[in-house]
Amino acid sequence: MFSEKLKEITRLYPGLTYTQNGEKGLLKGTFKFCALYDRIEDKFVLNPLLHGDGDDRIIQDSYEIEVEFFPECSHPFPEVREVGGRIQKIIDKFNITDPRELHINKNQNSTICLCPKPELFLRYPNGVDLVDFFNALVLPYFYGLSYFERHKEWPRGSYGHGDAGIFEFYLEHRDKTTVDLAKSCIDSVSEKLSKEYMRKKGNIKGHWECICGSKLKIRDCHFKALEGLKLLKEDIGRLSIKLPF
Amino acid sequence: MTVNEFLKKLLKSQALTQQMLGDLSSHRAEVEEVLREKFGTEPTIRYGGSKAKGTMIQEGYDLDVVCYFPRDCDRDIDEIYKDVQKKLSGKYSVTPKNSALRIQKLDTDNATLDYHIDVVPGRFIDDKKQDTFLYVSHGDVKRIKTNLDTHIKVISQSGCVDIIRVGKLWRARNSINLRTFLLELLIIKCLESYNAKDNLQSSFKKFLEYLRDSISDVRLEDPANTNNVVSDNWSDGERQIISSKAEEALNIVDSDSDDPDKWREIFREPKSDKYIGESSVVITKNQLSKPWCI
Repeated sequence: MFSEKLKEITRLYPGLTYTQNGEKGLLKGTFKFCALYDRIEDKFVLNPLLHGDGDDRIIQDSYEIEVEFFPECSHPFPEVREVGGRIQKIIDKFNITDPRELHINKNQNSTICLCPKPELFLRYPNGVDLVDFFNALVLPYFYGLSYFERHKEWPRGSYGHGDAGIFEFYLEHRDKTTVDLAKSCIDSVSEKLSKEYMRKKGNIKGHWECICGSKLKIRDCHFKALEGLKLLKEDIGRLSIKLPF
Repeated sequence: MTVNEFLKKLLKSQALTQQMLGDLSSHRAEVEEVLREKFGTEPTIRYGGSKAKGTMIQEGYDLDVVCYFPRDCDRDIDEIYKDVQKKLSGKYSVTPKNSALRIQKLDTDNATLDYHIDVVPGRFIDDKKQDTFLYVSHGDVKRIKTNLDTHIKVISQSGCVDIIRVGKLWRARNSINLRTFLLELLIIKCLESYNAKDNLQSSFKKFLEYLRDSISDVRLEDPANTNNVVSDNWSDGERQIISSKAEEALNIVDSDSDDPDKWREIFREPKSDKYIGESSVVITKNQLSKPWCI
């Protein structure tokens, strides 16, 4: 099964080569792609037909990357890094002071955050499907990075940093009937203010200080996160989920 | 995909991203701070324009901030306008417009803004804080009465918000010179007694027909002040150009008005699925996520 997935990855992205060192697997090399993002359909197409009429939705680009993972284990999830210095060039180009703007975790060995942490648990409860991981997370990220380099925005948007992004994700994916998503989001909450608001009795108010540390009112700063946080708090009570903090 | 589905998706793709909304919010906060520094708590400062009306689209939006002083403030409207201009000029590059002040070079800009920021000074007419006088820098009249809440209410309760957003996108994609307020009033007037406003296809087609057939002699009043005929400064030449653009669009969709590709053409969107081949891999919306960071 794994070897089939690996074969498919190296077929789609032939610049990558696989090596294994003990339990750890490494896919490394040039991640070369030609892809199109259709905003109307909200879908990506890898290897679209080229008509030579200059469709500006098509991006052809390449990045030097490495993806570390454990083929036999469901966790930890793969770690993706850009190792060719391209991200640093983009940081320099736009004078970006916080690499989180490009979704880089400086504190975690410059790994790339392809999606919110709780999503990985929900998406891959029995281990990562490598083909899905590359096509649905790695490709859109690097397409998005190239797009950002041109337009200084992410084509599909991005989640807020830290807990704000967790709550925005919850708002978009909430399912009233299951506790898994709520639990997974609560487990990912890390900021003091978020924990305080969740523990506090009563409703969360929009004029409270934003969880991102901006000192702005949360409703003026991260409105969607506020909505998600309110729902998460409500669901915790309704589903009798115990807070881990 | 039907034409209505296409138009709905088109609108969805035009929703402002979190980052854009965050930028708007921080720019508004910065402008408010500058104004508060000088004027304290005296003026009412809030969003105006498309942000307040819910008609924003990604391709072409401005940030309008109104700065209304109370009725009993000790200055006339022209003095208020000049005072606000002076204060803003101390910090920004300011371009006076008819009733607004356009500002540039905000502290919170990391890069060149791709939208305008307009501050609209005004003075409330009474203590109800609704009707407002705005300064008019051009022409004989020195002030006009208007009411932002009436504008917001008329537009947001017209049932035409989505059609207005479609209209704004059509205007932007076809480089049509038509003031937003006029576009909004035209759409509302055209669809006043139309019951299928939620049918974007038929409503927008009706609007195009209205532009083609009736724009030459349409008269539009400010809903907050019927004495203010906002279409007065609209020349016959400008009306004619818009009418022709609408006719061009109708010629395209009329050949098969249920073909989404015809509608893609008038919104200058590439035709669907012409890019999917045998070796393509399609990654659909349900599979996708968005990047995050700890």
